[in-house]
Amino acid sequence: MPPDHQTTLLLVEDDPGHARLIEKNLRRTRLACPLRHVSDGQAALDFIYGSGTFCGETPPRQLIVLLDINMPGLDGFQVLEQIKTDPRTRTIPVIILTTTDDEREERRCYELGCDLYITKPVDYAAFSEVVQRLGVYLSQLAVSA
Amino acid sequence: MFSRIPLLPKMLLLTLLVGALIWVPLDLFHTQRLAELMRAQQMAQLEFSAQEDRVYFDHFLRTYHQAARFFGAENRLSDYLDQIEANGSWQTDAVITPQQVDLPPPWLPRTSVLRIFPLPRFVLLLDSDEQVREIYASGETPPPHQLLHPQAILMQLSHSGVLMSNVGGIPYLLSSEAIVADDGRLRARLILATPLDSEFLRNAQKPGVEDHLTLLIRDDRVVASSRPDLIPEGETVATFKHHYMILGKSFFDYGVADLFVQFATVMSTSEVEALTRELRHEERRLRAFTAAGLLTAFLLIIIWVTRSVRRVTQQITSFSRQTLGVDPQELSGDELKILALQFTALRSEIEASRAALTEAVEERTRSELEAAQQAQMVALLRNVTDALGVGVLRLGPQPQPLNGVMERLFACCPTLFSLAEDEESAEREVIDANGRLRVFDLHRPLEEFLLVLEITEARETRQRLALALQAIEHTTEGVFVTEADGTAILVNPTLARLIGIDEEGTRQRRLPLLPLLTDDPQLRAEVEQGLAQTGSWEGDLTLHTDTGNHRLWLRLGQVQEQTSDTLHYVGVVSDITERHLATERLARYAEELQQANEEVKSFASILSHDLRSPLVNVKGFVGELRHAVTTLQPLLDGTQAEPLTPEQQQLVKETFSADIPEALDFIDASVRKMDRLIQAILTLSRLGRRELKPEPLPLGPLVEEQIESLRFQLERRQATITVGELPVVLADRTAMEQIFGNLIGNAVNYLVPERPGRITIRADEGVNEVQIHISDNGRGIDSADFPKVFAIFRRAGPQDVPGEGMGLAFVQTLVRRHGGRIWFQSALGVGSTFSIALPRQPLTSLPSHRRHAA
Repeated sequence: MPPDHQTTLLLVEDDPGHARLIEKNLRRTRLACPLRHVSDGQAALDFIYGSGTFCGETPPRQLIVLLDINMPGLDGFQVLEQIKTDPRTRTIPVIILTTTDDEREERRCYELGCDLYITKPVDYAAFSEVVQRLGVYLSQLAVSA
Repeated sequence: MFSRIPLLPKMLLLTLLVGALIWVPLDLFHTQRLAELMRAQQMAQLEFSAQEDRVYFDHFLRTYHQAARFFGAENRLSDYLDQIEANGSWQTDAVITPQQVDLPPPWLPRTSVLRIFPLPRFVLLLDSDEQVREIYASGETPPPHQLLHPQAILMQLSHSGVLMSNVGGIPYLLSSEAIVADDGRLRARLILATPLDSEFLRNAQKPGVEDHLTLLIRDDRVVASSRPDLIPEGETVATFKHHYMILGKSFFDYGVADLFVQFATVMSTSEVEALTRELRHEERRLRAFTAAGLLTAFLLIIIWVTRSVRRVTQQITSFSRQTLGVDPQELSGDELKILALQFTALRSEIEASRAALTEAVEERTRSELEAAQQAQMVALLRNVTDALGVGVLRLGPQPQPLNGVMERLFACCPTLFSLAEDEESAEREVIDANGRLRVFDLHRPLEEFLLVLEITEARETRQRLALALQAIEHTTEGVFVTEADGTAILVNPTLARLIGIDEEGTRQRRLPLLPLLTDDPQLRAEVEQGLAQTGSWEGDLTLHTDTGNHRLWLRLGQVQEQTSDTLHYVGVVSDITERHLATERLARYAEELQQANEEVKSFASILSHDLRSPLVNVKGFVGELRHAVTTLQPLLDGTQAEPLTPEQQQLVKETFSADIPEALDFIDASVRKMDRLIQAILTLSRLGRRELKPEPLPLGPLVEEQIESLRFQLERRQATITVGELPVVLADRTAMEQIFGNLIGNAVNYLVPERPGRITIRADEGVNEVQIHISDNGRGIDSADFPKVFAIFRRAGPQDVPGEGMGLAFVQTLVRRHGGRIWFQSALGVGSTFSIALPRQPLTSLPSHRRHAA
């Protein structure tokens, strides 16, 4: 079974335009994995933990998080920190998608444990490649586990 | 007069006098005491004798009684009675004839036996009818008549003891013995009777006693005396009492008596006195002998001493005569006095001689000494003046340098050292070969001498010192000098003004200086410790004066005088109040600048993101449009021959109806968002640049206005606002309206529906600033969101209240432009308090461009 069928992409993006663009472009790269979109940090954490508005929904076993930084309420840093400090969610790959190329911000993200830092606008071909590889990595991880 | 008498008789006289003075009372006392002791001793002895006499007398009486018994038991008597009984009659018929001693009756015991007993004066033999038949009298005295009819006596004698009774007016000693036959019949009776007279007493006395005599006394009258020659019978006690002492006087206690007769032992007082006298005499003799011995010994000592004194006197005399050739006065009298006189004479003689001698010697050597002394003085002068660095010049037609210093000076400039006739001293200046100005002080203490002292250095020092003092006097730093104990000895005017004391007064009163500079005992201790350890101290301190607080920088160091060990402390006090304030201000500015810088960075970052975000959309959807165009172009440019397939038609349709409008909508929205953002930034920029017009502004009505504009929301949320008393501030009205409108609006907007809203507005008025606190019990802020609160375009917590994230950024900018501060305290779920502080004097001087960023 191709790995991309098992891997779910969670897009955390407050700007609907950005979200739409990412969605469209990813579709166009024929990345087959399912894409879920939430528009703030709290919703993202709820999805990951199956709580809050996603109560009763089982979180997918293989998940890649595409995370925007600047969001109202819980921002990307806070979400990233939460994911990477919780042993249960630490292995979830997190790709930061942001508009700023501020070095301090990028450094901070890597310090918090992000797996990739991508500045918008995105090169979707390369991005798709990365997502596919991460999916393979995750499925191997699942098999070995 | 007294001194004319030689020492020997004088001393002798003195000794006798002193001896007598001490001796006589001593002797008197001693003799007296001795006599008393002797008398007591004698009395004790006599008392013993008296007791002895008495015992002897009693014994005599007892023997007398025994004699009666013995006589009665004598064989000769029983034989005689047998004979009479045989004859049937007595020889005599009641005619009683006393028998004489030399003719003792046959019934009387033999003489050898009689000698054992005291012989009674009368022995009466009575027949069985108790009629006196025979009488034996040992003396010549006839028996008294009563004795011859002894019936009355026999009545008393019946119990066979001795009896003392009055017989014919004379006291008698009586004793009787009954001679009884074997069958108990009375055969005869013996009566022994002796008058208690002097004779009896003589016999009854212990033989060999002569120093005293015994008496029998009846009714204070002597009835018997052992020495009738001394005290005859019939004498009364009162008569002899003056010459005799009665040692023992007692009644009889043996036998029976119907008489009161006392037995007494007496002694002549003259006897006792004679004995005492004799003893005293003996004593005196002994003492006189001792005194004589002592006197002799003393005399010998005096003679020896006198001889020594005399010998010394002779030697002095001979010394005067032979050595000094003076014939001293021959004197007689007290040797010591002579010695003293001679010695005084000798002393004055010797003193006179010595004075004469000294004078002679002095006279002879004076001239020599003077010359030598002069030479010595010149040498000394030379040395001393050289050592002192004073040149000495002997004046004259040819001035002559007298010492090394002068020689050198003279060599340098020979013409300089002269004084005019009327001058006594002067100062001379000259420029020497090295071009140095040298100054000399010239003095002429004597006509021919000129003293020259170079005072170049002294003058330079003086000038330097004057300059230094001038500098200290006029420097803007406070300068002081204290003694080692900290008392001020110099305070310059600057410091005196600063610490508000009278400069002159301080020096006089010897005030400890440090307490004037600081009243902090801990700091003073620190300073003192620093001085003790390193000899210096440096630091700042705060001086509280009437004019306000001064920040001072104190540098203290110890200075030791070169010429002595005296220690001083020199202090320099700089008033760094202004500098300190400036530093504080600078620090504050730096901090603010730093903060502003951070905010600028953050602002730039936010801008880059938030402005880029719509740009990304524009770019992305432009790309989408281009993609649509690329997709549609081959289908719709008319080059395609074949008609469109249904799929292609569908694609075209979707592209036109969905993709393209969607892209255009997003582009439109993004562009509008960008416009909004830019507008917001411009507003913020305008806020930073707008000229504020501070005016006295009562905050109360202003806040009320703002609340009024929120009335609808308050009612909808059922919230209450409590407003305390608010002050009047100096501020820009529009800015204040914006600030309070925003803060109160936030407080209202973020209330939670779970509980009735409570908003409190109150003010704290400080000295330098006014603080206004706006508290709510709304949803509060998570501490993780604290950094976003004042950031532009950032909003914390759930995004359920519309807004751009600009409000608090504006508020912060406006508050800062008033020179104030804004901060908040908040707890999630409990509420928030936003506080602003506005200065009473707003910082209007701050340029607006410094504030552009926030």
